[in-house]
Amino acid sequence: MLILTRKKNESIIIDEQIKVTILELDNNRVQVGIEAPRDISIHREEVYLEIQEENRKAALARVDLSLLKESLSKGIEEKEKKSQSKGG
Amino acid sequence: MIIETANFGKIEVPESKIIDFTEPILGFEDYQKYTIIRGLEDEPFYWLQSLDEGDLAFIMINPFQIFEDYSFNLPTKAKDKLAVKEDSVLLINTIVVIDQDTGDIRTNLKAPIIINGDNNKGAQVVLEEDYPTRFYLFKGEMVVEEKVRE
Repeated sequence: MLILTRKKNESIIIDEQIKVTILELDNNRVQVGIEAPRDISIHREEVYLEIQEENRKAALARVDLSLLKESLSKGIEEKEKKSQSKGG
Repeated sequence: MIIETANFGKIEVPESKIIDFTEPILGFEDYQKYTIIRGLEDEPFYWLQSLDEGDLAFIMINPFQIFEDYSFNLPTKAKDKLAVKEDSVLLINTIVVIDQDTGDIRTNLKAPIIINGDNNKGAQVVLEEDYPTRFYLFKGEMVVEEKVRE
């Protein structure tokens, strides 16, 4: 990993097209500004990790889809019944 | 091509139904070829079956069925990867998770599976819009209760 030290309002240029600027330093938090071309996608790492985790969980599915549909509508009915009885 | 699958046994997939993922499903970068398998009835759920690995399949849903106002700008990179033209017909799907521990059923609106109907290129696209990775279709306790009763 390349490690560079930067102060507030200093920047790093990546590949002559992405500019990363340190905007704010505060305790354990750093605010970073990023200027990049429209075709560069930028997300927090957690977003990717969350998506990966959801994908892995999704890949474990072993169900009959018609049963899934049934349990979904059954669940909705139950939910409605419950909320009705609660209301009354 | 013919492939042995965990959910459907041996299936034959014509060339025209093979979807080539030019932007992989995150965490499944080694798998590129998929096909969509729908039930006979008009079910809300359908399968995205890997053609590289018979055991690998995802359940998908048409997100507009559960969330009418779902809308986003397709990022430029995704447009390129899918070779999207102005008149391209895009199929928008989202992956469904059935959480085995909680019984929750949810879908990932942050990263839809987009397929270009013109060329059968597919991609999982991470949207810039602020949608949840966990959009609940159903909270688990009901299903769990059902199971206990049975």
